[in-house]
Amino acid sequence: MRQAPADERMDRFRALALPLLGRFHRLAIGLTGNQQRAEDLVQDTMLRAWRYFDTYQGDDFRAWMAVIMRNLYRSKAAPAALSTDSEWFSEVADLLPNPEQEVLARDRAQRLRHLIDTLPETLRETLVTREFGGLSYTQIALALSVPVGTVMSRLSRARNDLRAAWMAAHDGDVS
Amino acid sequence: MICEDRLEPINALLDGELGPPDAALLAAHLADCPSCRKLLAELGQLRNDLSQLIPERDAPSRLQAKIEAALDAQAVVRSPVANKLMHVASRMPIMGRRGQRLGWAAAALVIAAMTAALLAPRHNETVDFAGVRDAVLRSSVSESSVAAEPAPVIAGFQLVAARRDLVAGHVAQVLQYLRSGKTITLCIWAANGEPAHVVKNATYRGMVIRYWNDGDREYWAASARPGLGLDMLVARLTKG
Repeated sequence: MRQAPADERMDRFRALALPLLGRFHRLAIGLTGNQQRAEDLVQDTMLRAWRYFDTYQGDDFRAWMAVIMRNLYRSKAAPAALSTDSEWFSEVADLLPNPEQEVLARDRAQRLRHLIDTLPETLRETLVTREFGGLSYTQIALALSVPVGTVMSRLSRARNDLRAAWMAAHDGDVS
Repeated sequence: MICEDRLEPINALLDGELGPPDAALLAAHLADCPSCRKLLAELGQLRNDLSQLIPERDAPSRLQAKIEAALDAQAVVRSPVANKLMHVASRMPIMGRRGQRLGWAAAALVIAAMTAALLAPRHNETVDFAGVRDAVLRSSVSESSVAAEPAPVIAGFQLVAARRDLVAGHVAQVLQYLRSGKTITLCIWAANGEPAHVVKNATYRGMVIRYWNDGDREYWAASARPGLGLDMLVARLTKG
């Protein structure tokens, strides 16, 4: 099969990849918990995707990109550092009307973030990919190389564990 | 007490991944099961809390600019020589992200230097490639140095990078501007007696170039994806 000229390939790549930047940036923040690491991860993902774009078979592009991001993340992850940086929260805080609400929201977000980070990695990864990457079950299955049934199982366990911990944390607030 | 066998369907329902027959079965169950209704409400609240944790919005403009610039560089760094230089730069003994940045800086330098070098009539390719190679190997110095001269402020264009570097034998100010997602590289160096000339146009291997000499300095503006931005930048630089 004739290979498209480089300019055409780049145009096609841009058309497919650039609209996904926001979504993958959000997923990267979810994975890394750190603004700078998230930006590095997104950039590395984009450049690696372009580098291997010739191998893209025309299937689900978002899932293909998610595979690349996941592999890069796993090759560089430093899980112990995930909860140490709250810079990612600054954009949320910008939306709040007063300092008191900002403090409360920041505390609440940090606790929720901590609970996510304490999930087993397979559950955390599935939950983050769904909640922040917005991938469908089928896309998550492709990205994580597991059956769709496993995605459903992991997601329901992750949410249920998180729900129980989150409810318990709220009970602690009341008492 | 929750109905364990309803946990996955309830999650699938929240995600819009439950087919109509299964959704109907679950709805019938929910009508008779307060604990599952409570579970559904709590999971829905949890999803709402999660969605507020990291709001949906566009990627930061600085990240978009970096990626656009990197892709622009990739679009023209396809020649074996440039790829080899990129490979050499990326293997320089520098750790982590800095090494990658230097790789890109090297690639950007290759582009700017090749463009200027290969279009300059008084140059030959052997000399220019040697100059490019020297500049690439000194990319760690060039990246850390601060541009000595102030960069031109061009209305409507965002300056995203500036450095002082050697381009085809000239000590040059290398500037990158961004407009509408497109990156334009501007190289400026002293005219050194070269005669002034008006704006000339050239295209080299997919890169569109405008270059002129005002008698004091030579200006080379280049972009792999110029659109209208390149001519607008030139017009705004030359009108004064």
